[in-house]
Amino acid sequence: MNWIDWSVVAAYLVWVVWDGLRLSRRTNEVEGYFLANRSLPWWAVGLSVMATQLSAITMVSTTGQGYADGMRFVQFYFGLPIAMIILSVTAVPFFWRAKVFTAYEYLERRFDAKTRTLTAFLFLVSRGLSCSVIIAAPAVILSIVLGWNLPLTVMAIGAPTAVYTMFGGVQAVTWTDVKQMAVIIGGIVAAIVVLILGLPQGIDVGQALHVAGAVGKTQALDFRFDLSQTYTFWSGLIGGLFLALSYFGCDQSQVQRYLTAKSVEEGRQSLLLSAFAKIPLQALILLTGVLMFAFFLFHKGPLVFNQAPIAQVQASSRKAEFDQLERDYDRAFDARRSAAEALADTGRAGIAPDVARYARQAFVQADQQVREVRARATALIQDVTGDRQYADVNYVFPTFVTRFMPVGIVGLIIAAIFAAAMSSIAAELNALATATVIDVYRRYVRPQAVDSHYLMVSKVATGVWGLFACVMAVYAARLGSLIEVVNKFGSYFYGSLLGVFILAIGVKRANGHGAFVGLIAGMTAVFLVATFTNVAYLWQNVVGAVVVTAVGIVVSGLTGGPGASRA
Amino acid sequence: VPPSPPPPPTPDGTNATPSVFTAVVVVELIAIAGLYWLGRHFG
Repeated sequence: MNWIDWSVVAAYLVWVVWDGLRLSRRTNEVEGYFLANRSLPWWAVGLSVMATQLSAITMVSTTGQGYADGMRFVQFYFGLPIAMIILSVTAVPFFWRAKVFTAYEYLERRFDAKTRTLTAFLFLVSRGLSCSVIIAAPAVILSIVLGWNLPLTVMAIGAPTAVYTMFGGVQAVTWTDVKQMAVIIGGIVAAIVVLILGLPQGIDVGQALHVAGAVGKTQALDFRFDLSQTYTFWSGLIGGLFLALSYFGCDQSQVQRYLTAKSVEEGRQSLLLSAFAKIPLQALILLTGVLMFAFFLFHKGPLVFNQAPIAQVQASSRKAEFDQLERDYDRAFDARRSAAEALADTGRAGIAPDVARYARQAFVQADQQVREVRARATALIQDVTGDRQYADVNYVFPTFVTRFMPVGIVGLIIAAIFAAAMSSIAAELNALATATVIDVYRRYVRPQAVDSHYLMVSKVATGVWGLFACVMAVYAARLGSLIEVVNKFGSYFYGSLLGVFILAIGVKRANGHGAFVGLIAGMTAVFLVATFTNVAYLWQNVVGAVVVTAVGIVVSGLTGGPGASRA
Repeated sequence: VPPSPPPPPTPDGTNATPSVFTAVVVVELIAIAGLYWLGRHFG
């Protein structure tokens, strides 16, 4: 990276910490520290909700997904707007009027202490680990692409975030989220502009999309009702609805966002901002990936984008095989570029349909050749390194940024990736500290302490969670499979937790015994479905919520109905 | 014709009206239609 880019990244890091610390003056009591005294405007809360959900993984992996798979992933978000409408008339008024700090605190008022404690414990374990994954995932990629030391990259992302979150509380989290969202949007727009300007002369955006569309990259919708397919219209609409209800309605990192709003109405509006903007924003990010695919048709990228194991392959006995693949790739790339230019030309008026059809077939075959060479290279690397999870989709966007973007813009995009990571981590740390202090420390350790004591403990808890996340991130980065374990654990927990809140808010006869047993039954059911069937994970949220609700109703009935668990 | 009165508050005491929710659904339908067009036009 050029020194100008380094300066942009350094300036961003200094600015975000300074800006966060500046807000620490407004947080001299626990309610101000965790809930900003319920004073924030809807648009700031709404942008914070979006920034929390949009992590660096979204920026790096989603663009990579657009490059490899096209627009299909956008279907994942089809249930989100509906979920926001439902939550804005259920969860927002319930939580806001209950004057609670955490969603789990509400469960004790509605059910009992054991239900509150179990849900808070599950949140702390799953979010504590996932916070480390949110740091580790971009840190691994940035350390390889930029040639940085891994622990240093983890610290560069985690330490500034922990510092401003620790001292500034939710005020710092929210207002830095707003500015970080602007940096993220600026980075995405800059990438799209560079991609469009980087297309060869004579090929416009429409022609580029026409070529990408020939291999299915512009196909966003899949209406098949197939439970084994991860991303279809129906899995996104129904499974995505349950996932969004659970994430935005039951996960403290999101609930805490709208608890900071000035009123119920402003809390609602903050969620509805996401309802309006989420699908267009995700479509834009995926479109960046599709345009990147078009860009790499005309500009030669590397044989594999994740270059980390190349030295190991070059030093192995299979070096000659890899060199041959490099030559095969050169030939296949040249053939595909010619085919892409020919296909782009058919977009002009007056071209015979037969010529267009022939050009399309030739391009599809040429693209298949390139994919086959890349698949052979990936298999070879997996054999040599023994790493069966080796993949390079997540490295496409960072490679594009560092090799093809102009000086200054590279720094902006790296800053945007940092911003995406930091905005999510800050909200997680703030929520983890809130649940730790309110649901554990104040509930079980020191119930009667003065406010200043809780404020001090809250800051310490934020710092400790930040340290924990950074240390775990270094381990998570080295044990790739841990990331998968953490993600799977989250999916067992999400739908089931939603079931508990459905019982709490929607089933008057439900009691604590029903909610507690239902939660365990739901998590067990999701575990069994995930282990013994090929049902895609979005549907597991539906399974969890339905099983918890059904078991919860039955057990509540058998144990004496509402209020029984308090007796 | 006198102007129509403002919508009554919802049972939870706020002024949220279904029109915002309708607008969310309409925007989502437009987005899905746009994605459908993208696939049909360029695919």
